[in-house]
Amino acid sequence: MASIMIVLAIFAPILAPNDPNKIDVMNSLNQSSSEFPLGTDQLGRCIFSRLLYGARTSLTVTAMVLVVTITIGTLVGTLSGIFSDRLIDKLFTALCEVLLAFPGILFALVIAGMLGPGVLNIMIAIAIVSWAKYARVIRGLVIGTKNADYVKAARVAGTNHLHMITWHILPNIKNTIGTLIVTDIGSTILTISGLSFIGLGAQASEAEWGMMINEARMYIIKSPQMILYPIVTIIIVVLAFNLIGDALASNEELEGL
Amino acid sequence: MIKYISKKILYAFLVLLGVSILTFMMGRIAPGDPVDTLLSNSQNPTLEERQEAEEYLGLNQPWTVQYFNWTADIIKGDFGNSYKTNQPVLHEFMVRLPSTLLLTCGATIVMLLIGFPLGIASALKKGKILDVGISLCNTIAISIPSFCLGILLILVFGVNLKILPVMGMGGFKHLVLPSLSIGIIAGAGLARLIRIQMLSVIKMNHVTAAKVFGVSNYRIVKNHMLKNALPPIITSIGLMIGGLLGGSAIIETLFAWPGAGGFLVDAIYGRDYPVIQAYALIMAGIYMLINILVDFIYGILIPTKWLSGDKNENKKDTVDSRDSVGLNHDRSGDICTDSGTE
Repeated sequence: MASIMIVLAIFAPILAPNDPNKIDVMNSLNQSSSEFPLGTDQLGRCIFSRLLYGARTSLTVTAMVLVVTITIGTLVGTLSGIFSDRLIDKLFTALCEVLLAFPGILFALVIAGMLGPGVLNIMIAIAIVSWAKYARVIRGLVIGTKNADYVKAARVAGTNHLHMITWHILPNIKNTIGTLIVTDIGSTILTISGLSFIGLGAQASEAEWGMMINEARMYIIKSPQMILYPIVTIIIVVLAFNLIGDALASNEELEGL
Repeated sequence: MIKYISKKILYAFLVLLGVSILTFMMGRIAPGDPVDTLLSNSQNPTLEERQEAEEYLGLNQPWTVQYFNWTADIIKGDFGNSYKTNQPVLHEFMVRLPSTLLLTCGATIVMLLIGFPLGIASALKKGKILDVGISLCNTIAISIPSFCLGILLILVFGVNLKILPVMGMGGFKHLVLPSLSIGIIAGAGLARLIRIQMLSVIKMNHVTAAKVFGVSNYRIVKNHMLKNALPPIITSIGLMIGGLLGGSAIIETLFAWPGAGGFLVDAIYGRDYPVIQAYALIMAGIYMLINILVDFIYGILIPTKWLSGDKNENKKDTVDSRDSVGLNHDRSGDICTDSGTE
């Protein structure tokens, strides 16, 4: 299901029956027809095409947020894991504590609010908020691996830090990190759509699920299907990623961690 | 006991300090020049006028001095005036805060009512059809964004059945839909957590022993399992309530609920920075307060906690429960993201 969604998002320009931004006021709020599979919105734009393009927006933004957070998180986590109990570790840990001691979405809201609306800004906001969690988990993993015998052996053999991190430590924890990423895809999509819903993320002209739901709110009585389709899409996509994440987590025996 | 609580308070204070530094820095890097905002009335302000304005705002001083002045004002309760209404921010906030707290209380009650029965039931019937059913429902529920659930509830109860109001704040009826939209999702997340914690307890020797002695199921669950499973659950509930508080911003916008979250969203549109900063700080304060309160309850339930004020043990507990929240409940959407990131 999730992979189908990714394929759909990549091939959106080919698959979409209509231009997602083509405004045709004469055809507004239509029911589904052969031309518009899921009907049209208040400006006569094809809902199906917009959903497809929305998948692109949501998935790219999610991917970019996760890449940024995981990079920062791994960097900081490994550094403070390797140099645990030195000043650099204490500083990073304190920073993480402050970031983690505060509800994430609230913080994301505040940062996005300070920076102003826009997709880029919510990406920055979510990244600032969520890297700390990875950093802490990875720090724990690194410390755990660091004390394994083979790493100690490598150390005795005179391996330098960089070599040790890239060849001995990271390969060992990469599966766990991968699982963490997958379990987070769903929640990231939810946060993005939530911020877009209140108008902080994608702007009106862009096709984004949260934004579509927000626009469709005005027409909830006249054409409820317009609001139902994006809602169902979000739920299916997030559910798909969450199920994958659950399966991976129980494989990795992270469930009860 | 006093040592334990004071340690917690000190920690909360340090976090607040960190949050205040972050908020202050964000206020400085945010786009838009406060001098321009202040001088927006006069056309073509001269250089002197600009300098005067800078002095008035204290911008000519170094950052550290600015920060200390700012913090000193805040401790005195002066969060500055809203750019939009020119009223003191704190006052405007206090007017709206009770409705947000009311909504959070409603959502918390829904969350507890859903989380405990479902979590316990599915743990006791592990692997049976009931457990599979409940777990599936929970996974679906945490995949729904709260605002989507809110809209679905509006469609069913407001538009089709016309039995519940969907806008604004009034009697008890107004509270039902917003509380449900936040509470159901958080409840599903809580149920998942409780299930895992209960499962880890169910295998313990003393539970098996109680079964062998023929203790009734109800008493086993209440006295032998819940009591042991509760500590991490309580910690997570505290974190989740904080999440509900933050997640309410979106739901407040949807239901036109006159609370602090909706106020924040308005402020974001109006670029009303003092309001945004005040929101961050006040919410962080409330959040810390909730956590201290939860720790207090924790200590009453498990009195040995008072004695073990030693840092490592506390740390271990919080990290454990945080991780389980992070990994398992983080997907419960806007609401539980927060509890997750804790």
